[in-house]
Amino acid sequence: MNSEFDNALAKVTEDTFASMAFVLPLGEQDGGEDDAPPQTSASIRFSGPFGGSLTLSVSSRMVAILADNILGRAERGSASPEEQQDALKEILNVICGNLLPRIATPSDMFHVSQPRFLSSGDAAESFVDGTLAAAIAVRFDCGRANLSLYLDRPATVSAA
Amino acid sequence: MVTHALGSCLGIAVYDPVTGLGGLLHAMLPTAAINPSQAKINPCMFVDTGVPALLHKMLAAGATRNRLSIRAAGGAATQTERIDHFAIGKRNYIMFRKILWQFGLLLDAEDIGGELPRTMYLEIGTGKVWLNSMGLDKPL
Amino acid sequence: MSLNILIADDSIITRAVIVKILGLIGIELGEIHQATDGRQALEVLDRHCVDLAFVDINMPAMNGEEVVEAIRSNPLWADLPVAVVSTEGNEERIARLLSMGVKFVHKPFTPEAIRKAVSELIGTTHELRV
Repeated sequence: MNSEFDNALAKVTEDTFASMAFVLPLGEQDGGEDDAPPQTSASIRFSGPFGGSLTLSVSSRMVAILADNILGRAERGSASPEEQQDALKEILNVICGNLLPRIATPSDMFHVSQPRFLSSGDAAESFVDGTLAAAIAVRFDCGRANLSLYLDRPATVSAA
Repeated sequence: MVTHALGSCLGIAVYDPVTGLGGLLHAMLPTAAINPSQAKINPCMFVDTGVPALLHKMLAAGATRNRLSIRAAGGAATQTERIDHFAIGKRNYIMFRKILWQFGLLLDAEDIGGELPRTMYLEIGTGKVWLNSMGLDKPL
Repeated sequence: MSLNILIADDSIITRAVIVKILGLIGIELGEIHQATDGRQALEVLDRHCVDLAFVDINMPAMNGEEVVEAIRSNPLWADLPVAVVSTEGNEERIARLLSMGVKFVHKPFTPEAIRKAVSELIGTTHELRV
């Protein structure tokens, strides 16, 4: 694994969660994290100068909060299961779209597939392409987001 | 009205040009969950209790929601704060965006982030908002 | 005059967010049509009178760039104000879209970015609080 990829993925994840769903990132010294295991996942594939996939997992409690926040609803649990699944997929789509120019060059063209929600019966491995290039956990005030990036060939982090 | 020395703190100016009602908030921390007892005494210390308190007060005093002009400044990572891991300025701003979105309000201008402290002015007679940072005035 | 709007994005939640923003920016809204893919977006344009369109790029059936090309090559729609709302980072692709006269809004977007795009696209004929 490549720590530059980890850093790029962590930065894009933190920025995306903050600007779309208004969740506060936690520092190393912060406590108070919801430690529920991330059991809700979505995956997205991409192809271009290099191909691969990105998987995002959060707890079911966190996905409900993310959807409520994106929709601007103060009342907890108001987002439907469909909205919650879509929120996770769209966050992943935005992370992936913003990550690729950082690990490629801005002139590289990628095709990004539609994100897929992985139901509990789905084996995450079946949506994975390539070898693990980055795996991170980002802590927020409402829970933890786990991300895994798989690439089908080596790539380098651009200066951006 | 003036609020001084906004470092990581957030200054929020709200103004209704028709009624001439205005308010200025200086919020220090993102969420009252950090210190609920303090939030009861002074809700304006926290973004998630201070912004609703200011908006509710403005509306109760006769301001109209769709006329409100909202401007924000601050949220800096000042020299001393850069060495801590709490990123208070950033968190204040994220919480502010959340509350605005829940209220269905958009921001008319902002000057957020960076490393320098700011002083924020709201002229009630005109609704004009400006900042002063390191001796320099600039309109917001 | 009220504006009929098309929002083409496969994400329900993104469409809901754009609808909410449109309700907040002081324009008079007519019909809001939603499409989940590019082909549906063109079907909406075929059947309804639309004044402003929001188009995502990464959509099933037909991507947003193809939708914009179809819009610009049809004399009935050629002048339709279009905002492309996407995570796209490829400079060439963005330049190509801009050359077709669209406004580009990068995801993740703020409500203010959508308001600015609307203002730039239709602001000359509609009063917006900007």
